[in-house]
Amino acid sequence: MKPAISVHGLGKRYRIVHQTAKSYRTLRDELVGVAKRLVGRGEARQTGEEFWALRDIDFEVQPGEIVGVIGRNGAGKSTLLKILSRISPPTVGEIVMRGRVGSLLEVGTGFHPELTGRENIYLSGAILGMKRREVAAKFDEIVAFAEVEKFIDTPVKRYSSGMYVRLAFAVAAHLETEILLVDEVLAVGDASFQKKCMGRMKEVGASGRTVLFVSHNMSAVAALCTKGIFLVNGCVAHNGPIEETLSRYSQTATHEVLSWTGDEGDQDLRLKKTWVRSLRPSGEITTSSPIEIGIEAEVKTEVDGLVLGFTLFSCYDTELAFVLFDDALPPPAPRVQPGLMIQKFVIPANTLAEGNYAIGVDLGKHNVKAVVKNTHGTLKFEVTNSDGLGRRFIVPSVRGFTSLFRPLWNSHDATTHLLK
Amino acid sequence: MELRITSKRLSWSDSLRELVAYRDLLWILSYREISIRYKQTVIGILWVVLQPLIMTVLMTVIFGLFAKIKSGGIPYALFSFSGMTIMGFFTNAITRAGLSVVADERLITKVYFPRATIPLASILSSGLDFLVSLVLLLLIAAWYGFFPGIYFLAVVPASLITVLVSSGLGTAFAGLTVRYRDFRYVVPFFMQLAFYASPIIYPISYIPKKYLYLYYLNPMAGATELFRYGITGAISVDLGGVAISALVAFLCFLAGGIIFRQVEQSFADVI
Repeated sequence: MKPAISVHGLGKRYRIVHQTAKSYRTLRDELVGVAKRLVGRGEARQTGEEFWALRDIDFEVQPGEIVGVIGRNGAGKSTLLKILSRISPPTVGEIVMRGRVGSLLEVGTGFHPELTGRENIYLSGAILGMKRREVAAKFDEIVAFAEVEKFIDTPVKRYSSGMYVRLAFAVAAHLETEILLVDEVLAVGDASFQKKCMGRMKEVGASGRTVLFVSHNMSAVAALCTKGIFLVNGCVAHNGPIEETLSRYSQTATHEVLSWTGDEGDQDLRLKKTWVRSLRPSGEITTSSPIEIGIEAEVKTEVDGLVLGFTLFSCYDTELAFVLFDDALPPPAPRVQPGLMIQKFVIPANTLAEGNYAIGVDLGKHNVKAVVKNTHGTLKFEVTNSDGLGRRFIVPSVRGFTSLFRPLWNSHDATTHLLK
Repeated sequence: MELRITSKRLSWSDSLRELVAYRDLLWILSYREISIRYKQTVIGILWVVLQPLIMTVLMTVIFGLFAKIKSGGIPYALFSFSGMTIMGFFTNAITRAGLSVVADERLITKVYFPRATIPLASILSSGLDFLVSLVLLLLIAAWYGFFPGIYFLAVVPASLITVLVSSGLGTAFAGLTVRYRDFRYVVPFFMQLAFYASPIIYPISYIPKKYLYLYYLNPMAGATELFRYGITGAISVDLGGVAISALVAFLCFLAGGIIFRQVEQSFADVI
């Protein structure tokens, strides 16, 4: 059987324009450019720097496969999806798709607040490429899925946000094409609706259609996909079964960075030093050792509403915790006088499970400015489990995942009652 | 079904085939435009006719009554309202189409469909507005004692010329506005020029004979003449002039298609 999607030598180049902040050009820019070229200075067009968002991408997807595309921010996932769904043209290379293609890059594409639920179903359906009679045939099913029967003739601007999202997803979920390109649309709605969406996605997969799923949410990828493509800096770093790809992804986080020294920030706040260390004499970071996270910052002028703290990320870039220095203090945040501020946070022993983590430091002024914000972590560390509980039985969790916390279960309190 | 995506754009025939495949979308986008435009307005669809009607009253007083412009056997009010009706179609279609793509930025960056459906939906919705005004125009004509005869058929080619020229210019402006926001300011100005360059407030007999063929290079000159003939049957039409207008309209249509195709591929990257 021929592959449903084959991608050969795909590349996408963007030109970063330095002199102007806007992406579109005004007629004036163009006229000036033309004038310069006429005068004979040929380099007038070369105002920007070239940047390959994707390069030498080759892969094939067989019919019926559900492929997850993963990668960190800026790896080119969204660009790839935009090219596959024909929103943006490739610069080089070729893609061949066999079958009708539907793409869902957003929930509620084309929804208009002034139109009623009924009108929006037809509008959104048509925008996604469905024929009028296809939508008509599925209409009742869509309405039932979204649970908005009573409000179907009400403008959607009067809907609650939950209803809106449910209706929007319902239309998308009933798009029946042989190939489906999906971008993180699952990250909507409340928990129970998300569960319903995941169920629907699984049904789609089971029905033998080809799905390409781009996501940040590794647990969703692990649960849905059978194969994975891992993108790093616009290139395919790994392409194979999902377990393999996920482990490659998590391995890229293992280069431990335990401390950072430098000078970063603005005229008021400077970040000087950050570190992660075990509070155990051996210095080994294990599940049974307390872990200290330190931040050293210089406050140059008095600050009202200082934000100083960190975000803890899992190796899949999921935010696990967000901690600030004044969490335990009653509001308002204390006024901070100029000086060197050293803040130490301790994650108690028996909290984090074995695995890789990252720390992103936050330094800023509340409601004013984020001076330093490492949204994906600069400090990286691995927690091993050399002596704690839970080594004997590996949790048979969702593919590729282990639990995120590992407390000291009170097994030593157990008593045995002998049966007479 | 096999779809090949490369850096090259689709051929003309594939583009047209795709546009036809998405005809349901064209209808529903026009429906959206019309239904949104009059939502939460008290008089709703009456807005379509109110503006040209007030303009006509004003023009009749100033040009018909005070300046005494001769309108060649037709009452001035009917003369100017018939001109306003066809010219209103042209102006609305191009103005709306010109801004349509930029206004639908979210759609452009999130989903693929033939991009030309957006400006064409604006043209179509303006066409529906035009039909509403046409009904009122026929009522006014009847009031003045002009009832449609066989000559009414001239309305069809007149509208066709208008559709061709406004589709051409509308899509071209829509595409160019994405790249050069200057066109936001160019279009209204251009529309004003077109208004004065067309026989709306004055009859075509005011144009010196030797410039007449030059005058008909404005497709709306021929379209307006033909349209007015279709409504009243009371004026003579210069068929040579209309032919020139029709030809220019067709060239505008082709040019619009070519320009739009040049720019549409990069919409998502530059919008």
